[in-house]
Amino acid sequence: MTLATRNAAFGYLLMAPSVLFFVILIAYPLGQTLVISLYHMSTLTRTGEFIGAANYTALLQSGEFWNAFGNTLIWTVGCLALQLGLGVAFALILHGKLFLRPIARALVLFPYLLSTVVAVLVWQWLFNDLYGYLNYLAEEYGVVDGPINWLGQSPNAMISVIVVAAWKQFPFVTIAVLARLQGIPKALYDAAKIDGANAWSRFWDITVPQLKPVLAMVIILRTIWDFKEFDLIFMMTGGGPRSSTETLPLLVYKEVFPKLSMGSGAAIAMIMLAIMLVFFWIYAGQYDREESARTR
Amino acid sequence: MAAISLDHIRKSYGAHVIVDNLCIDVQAGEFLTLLGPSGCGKSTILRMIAGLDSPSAGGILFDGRRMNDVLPADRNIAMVFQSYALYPHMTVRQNLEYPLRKRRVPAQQRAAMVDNVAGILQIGPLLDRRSSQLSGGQQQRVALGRAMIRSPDVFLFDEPLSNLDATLRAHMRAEIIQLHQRLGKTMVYVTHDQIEAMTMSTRIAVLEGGKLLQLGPPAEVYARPATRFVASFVGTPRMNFLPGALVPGGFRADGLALEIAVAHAADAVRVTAGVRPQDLLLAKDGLPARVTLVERTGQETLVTTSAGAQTLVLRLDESCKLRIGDEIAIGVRPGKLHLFDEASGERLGNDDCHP
Repeated sequence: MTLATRNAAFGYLLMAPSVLFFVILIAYPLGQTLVISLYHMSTLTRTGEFIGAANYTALLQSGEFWNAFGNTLIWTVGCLALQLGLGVAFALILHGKLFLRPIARALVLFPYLLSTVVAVLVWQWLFNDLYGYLNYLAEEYGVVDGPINWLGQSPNAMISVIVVAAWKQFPFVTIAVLARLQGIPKALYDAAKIDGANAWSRFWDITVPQLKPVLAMVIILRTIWDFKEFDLIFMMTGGGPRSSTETLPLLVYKEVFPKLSMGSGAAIAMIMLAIMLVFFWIYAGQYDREESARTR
Repeated sequence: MAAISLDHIRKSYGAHVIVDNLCIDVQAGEFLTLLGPSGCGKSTILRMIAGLDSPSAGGILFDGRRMNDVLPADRNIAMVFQSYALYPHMTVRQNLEYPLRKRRVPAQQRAAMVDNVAGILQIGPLLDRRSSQLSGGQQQRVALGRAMIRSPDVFLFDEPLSNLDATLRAHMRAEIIQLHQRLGKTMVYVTHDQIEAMTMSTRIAVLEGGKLLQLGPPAEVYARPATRFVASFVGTPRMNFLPGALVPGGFRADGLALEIAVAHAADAVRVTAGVRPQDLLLAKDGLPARVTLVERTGQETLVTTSAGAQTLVLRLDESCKLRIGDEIAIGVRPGKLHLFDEASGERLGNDDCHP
């Protein structure tokens, strides 16, 4: 054996565990889902007949699917916009001179660290139409006459879940943006001051362009994560009222478990995968560009 | 062109004093170098001239006009940074244009000014490249261009060559000297590199711990260092120092059979004698020493020796055949001894050297 083949053999040996885990945990289930999506299959018996693409054509003709698809878009875009706004704003605040900055930084992380179940329980209490604190405050200060049905009415329910999700996820944006902000060389601002840029142009000409790559990254990552968010919506509203907050992941769940229609659920999951692959493709492209920009 | 006066400048953060009671007058059109080790306050002084930091006390005057409360943009200065500080997402052209844009110079005029500067610095082919794609030397050139483009009264340089490799550094050094001659503008240059200070400046201000130790033309700083610190900081290889005392008849080194007649002979004054490596020579009846290291650069040979408890470095010519372990005798070239008060480090006597 030459040295090269010996090194190669050792390399394969080192890779083997990860390849094994990848096959068992990702490749096999993925293949199974694809196969199941081509069957008319009951969740309980896991048996059924091969029906080709019938699950897919049925879905594309069902109002339920398109409703969930639309909800997913509203949910993803809404979450993303609110998270970005809050996240960048807090990053800028934390980057500035702030009293007790270390404490403020730790506090900002708090929602992100909270388990989703706990966050949902707290917010459900806040949102409760009978004894919730939000309605109490709104009435106390005369903003509304009667209690608002935050979660049991459309479009309130969608807005409410988006607010909770954004509240929970914005620290991720803050941390990412803050890290970049602190990495911007001070000399750039000094140079701009001498070049005659006021505070506003320094923000637009230096800070914003420097944040662009990290924002692109955050947007793509958060889009992928929010797109497939399940637990928060499921626990807050269960998709209701009347499927007005039912997104694609919730529809998958509904098909597979209450409706016991495994094949149909698998087909929705495959469609979601296809959509997310597009985002991943964009992400990978962005990542490559970042890397090559850095190494250049 | 503008003359700059630093009038009793002080800069402190709380109890931490960075610059203390500093007075320097920079003449119009002069190339003044602030030289000192890191932490001596030189960059802080430059930032105060630029207006990026403000002094805790004292005045900064341009042509007699107090500038303390004038914004950096309104001081008509330009600054070149160690990190170049080019705007990374902009092209070279956009970088050069930026100060003009912020001053609302019309587009046509801007283009002409960019072309002019690009011509002088020979960066024409780079104009449409992104600044992050350039090499260090190219970036430094663009940074120079951005400083030149609006013809400021004063150029400030903050260790602009530190991030370049040795060859490029020597090259850019020459370019900055030529730039100074061509533009005739006041330039204040911060460095810890005494070669840069020696070769570029009309005058050098040597600083330590926020205090001005000596201000004068390079030749004078080299020939008549005002303190022991200046003597050790300026000149490579470094000056040799020997502790000793002035006795009637001359200087007597501690623990060595070395006595040199000097004009300022006094009784039992503790001093440190300094002598540059090129002022030591091989002498038959000199100070016995043993060679511990021989470094040949091709054009000269640096010989490190130990004499008693002291280490002495000699700068000899390339024909030197000495080897490690050789026993030699060292003499001092007449009139090349610098004497410093041992306690204060101040130079004794005002003449070039002691006979």
